[in-house]
Amino acid sequence: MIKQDVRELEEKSIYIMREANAKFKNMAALWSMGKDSTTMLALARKAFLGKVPFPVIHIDNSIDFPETYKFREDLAKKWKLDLIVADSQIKPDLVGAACCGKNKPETLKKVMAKYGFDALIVSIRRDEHGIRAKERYMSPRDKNFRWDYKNQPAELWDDYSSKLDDAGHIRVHPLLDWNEIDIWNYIKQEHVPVNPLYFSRDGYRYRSLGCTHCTIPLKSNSKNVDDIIKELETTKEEERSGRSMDKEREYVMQKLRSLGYM
Amino acid sequence: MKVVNIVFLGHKDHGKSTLIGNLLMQTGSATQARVNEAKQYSKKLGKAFEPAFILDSFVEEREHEMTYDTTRAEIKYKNIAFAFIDVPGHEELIKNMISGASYAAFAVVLVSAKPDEGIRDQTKRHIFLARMMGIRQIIIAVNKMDTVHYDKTRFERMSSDLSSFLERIGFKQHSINFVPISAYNADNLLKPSKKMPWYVGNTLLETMYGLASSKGIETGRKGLRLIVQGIMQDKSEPKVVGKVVSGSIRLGQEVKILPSEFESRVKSIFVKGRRAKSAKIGQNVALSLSRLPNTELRGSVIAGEDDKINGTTKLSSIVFFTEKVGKKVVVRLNGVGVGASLSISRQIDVTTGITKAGRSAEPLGAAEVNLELDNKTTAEPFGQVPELGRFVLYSKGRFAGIGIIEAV
Repeated sequence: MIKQDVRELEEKSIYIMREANAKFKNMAALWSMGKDSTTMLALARKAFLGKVPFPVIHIDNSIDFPETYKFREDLAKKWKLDLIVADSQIKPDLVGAACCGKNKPETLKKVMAKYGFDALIVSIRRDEHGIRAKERYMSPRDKNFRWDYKNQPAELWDDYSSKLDDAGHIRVHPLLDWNEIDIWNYIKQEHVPVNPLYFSRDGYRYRSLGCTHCTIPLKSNSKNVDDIIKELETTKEEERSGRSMDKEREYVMQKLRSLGYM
Repeated sequence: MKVVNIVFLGHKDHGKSTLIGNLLMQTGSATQARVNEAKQYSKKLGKAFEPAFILDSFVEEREHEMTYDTTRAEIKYKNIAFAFIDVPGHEELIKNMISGASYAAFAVVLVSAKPDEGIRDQTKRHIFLARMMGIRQIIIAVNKMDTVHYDKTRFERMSSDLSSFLERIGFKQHSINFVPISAYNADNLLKPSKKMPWYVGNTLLETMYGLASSKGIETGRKGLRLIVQGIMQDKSEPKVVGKVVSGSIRLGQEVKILPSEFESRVKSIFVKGRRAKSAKIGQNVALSLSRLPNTELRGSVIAGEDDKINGTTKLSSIVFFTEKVGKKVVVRLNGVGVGASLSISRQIDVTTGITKAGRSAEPLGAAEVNLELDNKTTAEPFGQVPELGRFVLYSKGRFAGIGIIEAV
């Protein structure tokens, strides 16, 4: 896994977040309490002089891990976050990709409409999955949250897309250039708080966190941030190998993303 | 590890994805899962293993055998990680090619040695665009050498055909590199090919490595230029946020805010949330200034008080058009759009680099253009401060082209 210069990545993320904050009137961020979106919040605190200036949304299907809920409460208090918890109902007849592809986007649509958000920060990284490599720093979604990846606006130099006429909102991706190992190096350097589920217990740890129904831990003895960095320097496993929905069908991520999944 | 962004250009059938897929495999940069997935997919289609499938991540791309959009992949060679920006080779998606090329340090261009393929106009158009956007170093990979029996004469003829075009559009002779390859058979990618003993130059990866580890060409930038993104409200006083694109800024410095030439002084500087005495090129800052104008600050530029730079309403530039445009356009510069009247003085043939008289320009063509802006803005020639010397053109709300400023 390629290690990049986190100081440079940090500058770029700060630039993108400030650019979005200046451009959009009513921006929010998705916060899953995972390592990426928590790193994004740490970066926002750097960009905006110690304060996260936008509301953070947790799409809560009530089946996240107990550790995740505790982490949410603790950090929201410590960093004085404007937290919006959007309840998402789990439907027993929808499992795996169908569940992620339907429940969460539906809830997100409702919360975006309720608050009138015009931009949404999503902490995806290009190295997570082939399809995510297609994203721009600012990618428009239409009013039905669809992503027209074949007809995206040009995005060059430091000039990011303007809002398209028929766009529902803009997805802002400040972490697009980061690799998984860069996130951990940054967590180490900046002492970013992390969900304890990432650390090994009884020989297993979570490398990517979803909800309890669909996330499987992997074999690992990494008990702290340093161990994880070492593990990632040598691993051949893909990060989302513990996320069952990615594997159900070929191109499931592509489908999910064009449907508005995060 | 040093990460270097590069861009691959070339006609859609000339083998870009095959090349990148094979480079990823040869250097062990693709994960086993990716390689296996590509193997399974090749098998499913009843084909021999196709390295391009490592890269083409969309089902449509695999089935139509072409790349729709930019794709990012990284390949490790020695102590450098090349971030490959794979861009589509077909014309209608040129704005994606532009997006990919805008981040690249140099370009690798694929041309096919196959007699019925050769050097296409579209490839030359992409090379023209890359040069216009500031790419100064280029590698021409002459691909499919296996289809011409690894013939030296064919390679040399193609190289000399292209050389005159490259030099006419501004590439210096020593910045042009030709490498004969077969992307599919991995000839001259990582290891020197035994089938082309007549070629004594470096392999493709070694040539790329040479360019990536050479020092960049110095631009003329020196004085402070800070592009303002906006104002951030903070407890007691508002902070100006922006990025230093040239020179440096320090506490107590006397500055002027362009284009209005409003004078002020730097009272405090914050870098990554912490107080700092100064900030340098590439850093994002928040500043408090002794006084601020009442006007909108987004898109302004902060420079040293004594600096010669002034606001301007006239831009003389080179524009590449992606759409047909009329007289009224919007120029996006420093993050904001300004209305402008456009007049063409000369046309440029992007497949030869030759200019001729003409008052109009077609989509996918270029021209020398004069712009008269509705409002004063801050700009400089691209050769001096690239960030202040380039713009995006919009017409009727649509992306219509890109421009490089030659004089203000």
